[in-house]
Amino acid sequence: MTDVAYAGTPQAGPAFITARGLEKHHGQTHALRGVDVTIRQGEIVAVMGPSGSGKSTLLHCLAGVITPDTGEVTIDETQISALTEDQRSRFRLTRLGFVFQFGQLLPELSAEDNVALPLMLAGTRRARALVQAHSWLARLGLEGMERRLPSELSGGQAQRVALARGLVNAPAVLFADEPTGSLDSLTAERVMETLTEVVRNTGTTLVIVTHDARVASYSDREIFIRDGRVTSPALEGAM
Amino acid sequence: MGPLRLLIFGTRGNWGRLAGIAVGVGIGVLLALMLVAGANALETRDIRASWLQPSVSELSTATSGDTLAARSDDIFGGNRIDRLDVAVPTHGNATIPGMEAPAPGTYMASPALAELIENAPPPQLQDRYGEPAGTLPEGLLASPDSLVVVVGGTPEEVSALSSAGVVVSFDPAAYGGNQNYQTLALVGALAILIPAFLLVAVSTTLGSAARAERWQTLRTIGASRRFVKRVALTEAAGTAILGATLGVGGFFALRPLLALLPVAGERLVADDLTVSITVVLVVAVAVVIGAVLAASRSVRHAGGSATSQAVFEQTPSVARVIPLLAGLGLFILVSAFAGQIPVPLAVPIVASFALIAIGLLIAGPYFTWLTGTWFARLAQTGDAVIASRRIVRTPRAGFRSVAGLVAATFVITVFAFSASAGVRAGAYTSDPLLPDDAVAANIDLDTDITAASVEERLSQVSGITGVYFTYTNGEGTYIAGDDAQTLTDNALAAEIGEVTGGIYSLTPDGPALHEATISTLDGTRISDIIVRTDSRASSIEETRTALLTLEGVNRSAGAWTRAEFVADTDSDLATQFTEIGRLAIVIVTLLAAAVLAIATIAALYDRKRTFSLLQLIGMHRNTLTKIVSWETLVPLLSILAPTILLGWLTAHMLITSLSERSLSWPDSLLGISLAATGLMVVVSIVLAARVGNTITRSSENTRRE
Repeated sequence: MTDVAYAGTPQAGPAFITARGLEKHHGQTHALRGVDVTIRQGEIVAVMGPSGSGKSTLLHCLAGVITPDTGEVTIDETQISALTEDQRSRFRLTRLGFVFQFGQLLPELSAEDNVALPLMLAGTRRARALVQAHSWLARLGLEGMERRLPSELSGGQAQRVALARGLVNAPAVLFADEPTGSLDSLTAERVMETLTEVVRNTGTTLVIVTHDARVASYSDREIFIRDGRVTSPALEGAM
Repeated sequence: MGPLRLLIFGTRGNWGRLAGIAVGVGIGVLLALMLVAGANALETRDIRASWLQPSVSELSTATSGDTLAARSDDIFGGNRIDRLDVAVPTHGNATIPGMEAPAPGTYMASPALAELIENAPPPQLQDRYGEPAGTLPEGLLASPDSLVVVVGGTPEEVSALSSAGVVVSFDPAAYGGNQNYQTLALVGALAILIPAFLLVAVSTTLGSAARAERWQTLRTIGASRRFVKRVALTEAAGTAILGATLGVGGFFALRPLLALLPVAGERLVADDLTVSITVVLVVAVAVVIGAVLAASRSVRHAGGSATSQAVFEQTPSVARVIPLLAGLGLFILVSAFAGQIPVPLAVPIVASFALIAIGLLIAGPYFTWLTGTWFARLAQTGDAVIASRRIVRTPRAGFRSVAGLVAATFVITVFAFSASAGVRAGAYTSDPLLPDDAVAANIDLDTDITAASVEERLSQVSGITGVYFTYTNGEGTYIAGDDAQTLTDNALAAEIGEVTGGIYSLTPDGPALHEATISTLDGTRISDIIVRTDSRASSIEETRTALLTLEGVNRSAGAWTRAEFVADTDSDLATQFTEIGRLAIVIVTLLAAAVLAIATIAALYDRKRTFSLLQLIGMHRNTLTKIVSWETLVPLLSILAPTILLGWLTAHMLITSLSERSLSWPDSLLGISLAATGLMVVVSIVLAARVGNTITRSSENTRRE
C-alpha cells in the first residue's frame, strides 16, 4: 500500500508544497539542517522520525506556524515564508487545516462550536458556520452529538470532531501531528481510515507527522527525518 | 537535590510562579500592616495633641486659682493654625503637660509655625500673638507640620473670648475616641483590606491549572496522595512564608515613606507607625494557613487523568445574593432607627458596609453566570463564542479577574458621594456679600464698637479698598443697600434681586435680599465687618491681623475670606472622611489593576494550550485581545450597575446616619476615579493580551510526546 520515496520527491504531478533549504534553530538546538521537501496536490505524506528528530518543527515550518531561519516554503504558489505573521495566520485559517495528538478541543465549547470555530475565527457568523459544522459532523458519523461537550465524548469521537474542525474550512492542505497518539490501536485504525477516506474524496493534501509505522502505512509516501535532515528509507530501515 | 526540592524548584517556570505568588502575598501583608500602623499612628498623634482641646467647664464657675483656656482657629497663607489662649495662674490647678505656659503678652509656637512667623513681616502674623516666648516641644505636637500657637493672656483677656472655659484637665484623650471618627476609619480600612485580601487570594491561584496538572502527573506516575500533598503544602507554606516575610520587611523598609503621607494635611511621625508583634504574627500566620488550606483543596481535586483539562464549576445559586441583601437590609434598619439602636452605631454601620462589600463579591459569580448565559445566546463571532462559553462554564473564575474592580468601583462610589456631602457643606460658598478679595469678621454680642473706631484702626493697613458693615437689632441682620451693591460683584449678583439704596435684610436661607422693615440703622449695632482688599496676600493677612487684634471682634470665630471658609471644611469630620476616601480610592484602584492583571494573566497561563492551538489554526492576534476584553467586561458589566447603586446608597446611609448632612452629586472625583479605573482596565487588557500572545506562541503547548 505504501510507496516509499527518497528525500521527499513526489512520484508525479505538479508540486503543491515546496520547501527549499529549511534551517531552524531552537536556542542551541539545530532542529532543521537544510531540508528540501516537495509534495503534490492530493498526496498523503507521512513525516516519520524519532522523538526530537525535527519532524514537528518541519510541520510547523511547512504550515507557516513558525518561520525558518533560512530557506523558503511555498504552498499553491504562495510563498508563505515571505508573508507577515498576520498574513500567515489568515492563510492558515482559510487554506490549511490541523489535527493534533489529543484532539485539542476547547473544553468549554460543544462539538458543533468546536467544529465551527475556524469559520467563526475567519469571520463567518455562528449561525452560518454551524450549518457547515453539522454537515461535517454528520459526514463523520457524529450526528446527534452536536451539543455534547468534549468531556462527554469518547477518545475516538473527540478525534473525529477534531478532524471535522480541520476540514470544515475546506483546506487545501490538512496537517496532522500524531493524530492517533492518544488512541488505542483499534480506534486509531478507524480514525485513520476515516481521515484518509475523507481527504481522498475531497482531494485534500494530507501531511501526517508520526512515529507510528501503522499510521504511516496509510500514506502514499513517507519522508524520514533524523537529526534535522531528510534521510533515506534504506538507512532508516537499517537503523 | 531531593525529589521534594526538585519538584518545587526544578523548573524556571515554577520559580516565576512562586515568585509571583510571594510578591502578591507580600503586597497584601504589607497593606494590612500599613493600615494597622496607620490607625495606631493616628490614634497616637491624636492623643499627643489632645491637650489642645482641653476639657473645660462653664466660665461662670471660675475662681482665681483656675486655668482658663479658649480654643480658636486662625489662618495664614491658607494654612490653618490651632490657637489656644491660656491664662494660667502661678499655682494654677491645671497646667499643660510638658511645658511652661507663656506669660500674658507672649506666645509659644510650634516649630513649623515659628518658621512661618519668622519669614513673614510682623503685621501679617506675629502681631496677632505678641512676643515670642519659645517653641512648643515636638512631643506635644501631632505632626512636624502642625501649626500650633499657645498665646498667654490675663484671665480678663481670655475670659472675654467666646470659646473660653475653665480648664478641668489637659489630660490626653484620643480624638479617635469619637465614635463617628472610629466608624469612618474602620470603613476606610475595610475598603482597602478587602481588595488587599483579594490580591492575596488571586495571587495564590497563579498557575493553578499547571499545578493541578502537575499533581495529576505525579499521581499518574505512582506518587502517593500523601507525597503529592507534602509537595503541595510545602510549596504553598514556603511561598506564603516568603510572601509574609517580604510584606513585613517591606513594611519596615517603607515606614519612613509612609510617614510622609499627609493625613488631614499633616505628615505622620514615623515612630508612631507601630505594629505589635502579635499583629504581625496574626497576619502572617493567617496568610500561611489560608495558603495551606487552598493548596490542600487543590490536591484533593488531583487524581483524574492528566489529559482531562476541563474543570467546570457548579452553576452559582441565587443564594449567593443573600449576604448582599442582608447588608442592605441592615443598613436600611440602621439609617431608619439611627437614634434608637442600643449598640454603638459603629457596629451595625461597619457590619453592613462589610456585608455589602463582601456580599457583592459573593454575588458576583451569580450575576456573571446570569449575564454570561444571555451573552452566550447572542454570541456570533469566534471571540464572543469562546469568551461566553468560558464565562458560563466557569463563572467564579470569570468573576475572579474583575473582583478587584468591583470592590474598587464600590469604594470609589461610596467615597466620592460621601465627599460630595463634605464639600457642599460650606454655606459661605453661596454668600453673595463676601467678594473673593474680602476678609470678614464677626463682632462679639456684648460689644458696642463704632464704625469710626474700626475704620481708624484699619486705616493703618495698606491694601484696603473698602470697609463695610452689617448691623443687627436682635431681630434681624441688615445692610445698607449701597454697601450691598458694592459687595455683590460676584457671580451671585443677579440672584440677590434689585437693590436700590435704603436698608435691606439678610435672610439666612439664600442669597436674595429683602427690603427691610426698618427705615434707619439707628438703634442697631455692628454685626459683621467686611473688609475689601486689593487681593494681595500681604494685604489680606495684614487685614486679618488688624481685625483679630481689634477690640470687640469675636476672635474665637476668626477672620476669614470666602476661599478660607470653604477650605475650613477640611477640618470637618466629613472632610477627613473625604481624605480617607481619596487615599482608599488610589490604593484600591491600584490593587484592582493588580488583581485584574494577575488574574487575567493567570487565566491565560491556565489556558495557554487552548490559545496556542487557536493561534496555530490561524487565530489573529487581535482575537486574543477581544477574548480577554469580553471575559473582563461581561463579568464587570453584569454587576457594575448594582455596584454603583449600592455604593450610592451606602454613602447616603453612612452620611445621614453619622451627620446632619445630605448627599449631593459628586464633584469631578467620581468621574476622574472611574475614568482612571477604566484606563487601568484597558491597560490591563492590552498588557494581558500581549503577555497572552507571548506565552501561547510556543507550539510545544499543543502536544506531548
